[in-house]
Amino acid sequence: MSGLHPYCVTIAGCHPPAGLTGLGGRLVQGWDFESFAVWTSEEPSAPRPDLEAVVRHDAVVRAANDRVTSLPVRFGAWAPGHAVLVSRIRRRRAELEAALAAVSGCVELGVTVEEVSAPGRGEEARQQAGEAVTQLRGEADGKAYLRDLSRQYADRRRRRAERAVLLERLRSAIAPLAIDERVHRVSPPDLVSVAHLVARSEVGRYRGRLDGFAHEHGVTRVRVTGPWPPYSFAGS
Amino acid sequence: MTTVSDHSDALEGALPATALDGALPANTLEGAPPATLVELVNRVVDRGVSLTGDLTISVADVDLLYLGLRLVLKSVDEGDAEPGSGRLLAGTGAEPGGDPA
Repeated sequence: MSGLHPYCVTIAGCHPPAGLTGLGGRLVQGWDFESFAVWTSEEPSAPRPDLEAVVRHDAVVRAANDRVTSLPVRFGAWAPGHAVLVSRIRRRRAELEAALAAVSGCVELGVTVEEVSAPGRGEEARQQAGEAVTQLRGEADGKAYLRDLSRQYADRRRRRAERAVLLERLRSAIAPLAIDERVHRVSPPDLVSVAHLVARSEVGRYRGRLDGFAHEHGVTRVRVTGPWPPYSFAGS
Repeated sequence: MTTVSDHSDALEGALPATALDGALPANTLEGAPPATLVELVNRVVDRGVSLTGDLTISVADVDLLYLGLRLVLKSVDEGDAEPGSGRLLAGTGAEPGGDPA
């Protein structure tokens, strides 16, 4: 018996366009269950998230969101059969209904800000390079380790402060176009990464508000992506 | 009542037809900016509604950890967290018995 790979949860009656295929080129079907419709395709076993599968999964989610704002299902929710999938959805019915209502008519836009280039960073880099040479010469000791640790903590505090300031500036720039916000983890050189839930009709205004943000606030680069389906606002 | 349809009855005129333009096109594997691909993978794999009953974490085809319905491995989502750090959280809403095998 084949299992099911779910792509999204949407409102009842919203079904896939004819011929839409998903993972492995398999036909995507729509299941109506109470107030929901779930888009799935048959999948013999839990699929692995390789790049092609991820792109195909997203393509089906986008097809659903082209019709009505739908909740993307996280990759990896393979179910051994219809009854199991229905059971999982029923267990979370109230949460799913609330999430669908919250994202109705909206899309997700992502904003990533790369780290600010500030004076003094050059001296910091030279110091680090000097210490690296010291270590290579076999002269590393406890002091060097503690200095390195201290520098890491100081760097972390600096980034935290810069991140807080940038977030507030970003929020001021796009207020009140963002209906909801999720702040995501970042790794250097990214300083801030947020997802905003924005009404479909306000996407143009949102982008316009961010034009020039990088220049105005002295950051290296601001990267705006989307519109995406509401991945970040679909619940945990 | 649960129904199954093999194809859609298009909701002509009933829903807004605003396309999600400007993002990664479907079936595109080449030519997309690496940053956008990373963001796509992050979204599809790490976000969205979680409808899993069980979670198996594996590396190189070796299943390392099997977690039941009540436990979810969640990455710490604060900005200062060290990459790769995580914590084990007690899940909520699990019903006795869980999913059938």
